[in-house]
Amino acid sequence: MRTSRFLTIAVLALLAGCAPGAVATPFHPPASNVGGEVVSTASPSATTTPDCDPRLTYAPLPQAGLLPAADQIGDRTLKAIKQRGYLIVGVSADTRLLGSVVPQKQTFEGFDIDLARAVAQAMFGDPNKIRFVSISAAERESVLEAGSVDLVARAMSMTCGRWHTVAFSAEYLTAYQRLLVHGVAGSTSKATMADMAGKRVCAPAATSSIARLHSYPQVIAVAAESHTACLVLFQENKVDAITGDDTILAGLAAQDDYAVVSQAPSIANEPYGLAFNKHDIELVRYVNAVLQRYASPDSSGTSGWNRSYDRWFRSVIGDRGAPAPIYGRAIPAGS
Amino acid sequence: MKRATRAVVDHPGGQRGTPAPQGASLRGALTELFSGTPGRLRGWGALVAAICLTFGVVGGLTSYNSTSALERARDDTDQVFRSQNIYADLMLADATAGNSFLVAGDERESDRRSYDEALESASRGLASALAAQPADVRPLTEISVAVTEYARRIDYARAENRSGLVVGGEYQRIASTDLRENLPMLVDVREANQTRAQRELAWPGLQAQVLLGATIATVLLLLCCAGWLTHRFNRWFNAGLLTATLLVVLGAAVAVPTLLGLDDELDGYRAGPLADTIALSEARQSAYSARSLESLDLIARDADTSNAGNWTTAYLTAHNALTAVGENPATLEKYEAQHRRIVALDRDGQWSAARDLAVNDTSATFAKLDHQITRRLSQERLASQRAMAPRPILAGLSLGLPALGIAAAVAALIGINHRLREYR
Repeated sequence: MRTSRFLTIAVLALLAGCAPGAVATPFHPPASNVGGEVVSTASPSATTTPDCDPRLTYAPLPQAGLLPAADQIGDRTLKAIKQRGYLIVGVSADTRLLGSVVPQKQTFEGFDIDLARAVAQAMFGDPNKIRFVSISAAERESVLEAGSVDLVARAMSMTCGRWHTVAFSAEYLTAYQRLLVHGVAGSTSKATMADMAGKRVCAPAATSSIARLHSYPQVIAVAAESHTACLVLFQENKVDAITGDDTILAGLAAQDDYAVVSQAPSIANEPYGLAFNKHDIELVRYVNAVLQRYASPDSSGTSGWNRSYDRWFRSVIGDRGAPAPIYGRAIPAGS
Repeated sequence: MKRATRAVVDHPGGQRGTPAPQGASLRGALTELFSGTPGRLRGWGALVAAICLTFGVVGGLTSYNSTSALERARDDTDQVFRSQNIYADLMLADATAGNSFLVAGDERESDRRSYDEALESASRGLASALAAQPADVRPLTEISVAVTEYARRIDYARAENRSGLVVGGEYQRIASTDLRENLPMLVDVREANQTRAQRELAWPGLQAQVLLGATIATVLLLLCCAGWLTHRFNRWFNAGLLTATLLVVLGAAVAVPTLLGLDDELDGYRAGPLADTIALSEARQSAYSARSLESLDLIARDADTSNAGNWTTAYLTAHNALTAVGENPATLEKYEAQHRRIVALDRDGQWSAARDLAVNDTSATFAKLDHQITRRLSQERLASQRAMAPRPILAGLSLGLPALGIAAAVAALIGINHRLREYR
């Protein structure tokens, strides 16, 4: 066939012009992001400022009773929640122990979920008057700014920088940033960041964990969409370790028998707070009152906070108490 | 016939005397051979014989090349269909895997079988496509690797999901996203082969033009020769040249309309069954892509609606493709209504109801839609097979036209030799 074509070309070149040829098909392999994105370690991102305590929040309301009838509520946000009849909370759907969906039941569960239900219980007398909206870590601030959720309960670290865009409740859990490394379940690791020199360490994008990785220029920082996405990279040996809050890492380790949370001294403390639209100060104060009650022993002799902590964390990260709230943040003028 | 009355001046060649060098002697012999009226007659004889033979060769090759082009076009269109089938199979597998993920361990056995069959079909298609076209090896190899990786991740996703581990959802998302990122290479394969096929399909028309040009050149030269003979010998009629001319015209009268007719037929095929098959396959793969994106959104349970735009694009592509080929889009529109309901339920916090609708109702709708599209695709494929079938007449012309060219050359030489004999 080729000979014939060649002959034709030779004989008919002037008459027939160029003959067709099997040109190689264009080859455009995708620039896959599945391997995670290595991020620059050149510009450290400050999460605190010297004269700022990110845990400082607004004083709680004197009490956090059931919301009265809507026409008796002065605050616009609380009134809207009452009129709607349920609370909308942004949570994680894939952070085991804090907030995740149980595939078999298709319900949310975890420490953050218990806390959000406690707020709904206080508002409506029913912990189920709540709608959970799954959000990624990177969306936490944007959904609050857009007003699509009333509050975010998604392992959100209170930082001075974030106080510029959102408002926080009192600290409700202290997490410690650590490393998740390879190891058989039950074994102990003391791996530190120094041991990670030249290795790839994953953390979700737009989190304080990835920002803190910038302080370790010898580490190759890899940003993924979520901690669970980091776990996939870890299981596929595309990263050597995951850094994040021990509360989150414990949830990852619970899904992988060959991953352990390092017991080396923590890299940083992470105070978790519920996050709100920065203008919803009355709602913050209401929730602070709920948190105060949630952390106090009830008629059973123990607090809701302790029951939830015992259920989700005590066996995996040990004893930890409810953090002491720090009140006294000045309410902005006009609020 | 009368001998020419006109004075003819002979120019005997070669000068006698000292022996000439060998090259000069050959040149002298040639000059003698083609000088004077007999020489010119010999020259005309060589020229018309050559042009008649050339006509035969050109005619044979144009017919043969049209047959070959048709074969190559068939190979290329087969590759177009193969690449589209692979794409549709992968989207079917992904849509089924995503839908099954929503019900975790309650996955229907028929869905699992459908996923396995779709993936197996895609793998077989890739193997065939790799063997069929060497020019496609690089992208197809890359896609094969991606499919293997996809299957591995889906198996992980399924296993983790059945164990109630949330990491399963991430495996599902990454598997689907990675697969989608590789699919444009399959579109490249389809487009490259479509371009090749269209170029091949244009060949019969081009060959007809070439043959027409060769015919005109041959006939003109034969007429010039006849004119010269008339002028030289005062004979208006030369049976040999006339026979040669008639043979050439006869061959062209059969071959050129045949090639032009084939060109028309192939034009109709390009605009008809080929375009329709491509559009229908695109509709099928886009519809499955939309369903897969819908499942991903439900799996993510995410406030983020990043897949909403992609879903709309996939749906509109499927809708436009269906309407372009005159297919009723009612079933697809029914799916759109179901999708809107699923999104509304999900946004309203009724995830389980949304999931049930996605798993049960849309499955029935898709079964109907798939039946509609594959039935029409079968019809178009039959039309395609008919259009790409070998043409026996082209095989006949491939042999017949060279034979005619030889016959015309012989006839022309006989006619000229007749004059040469008269002259002597």
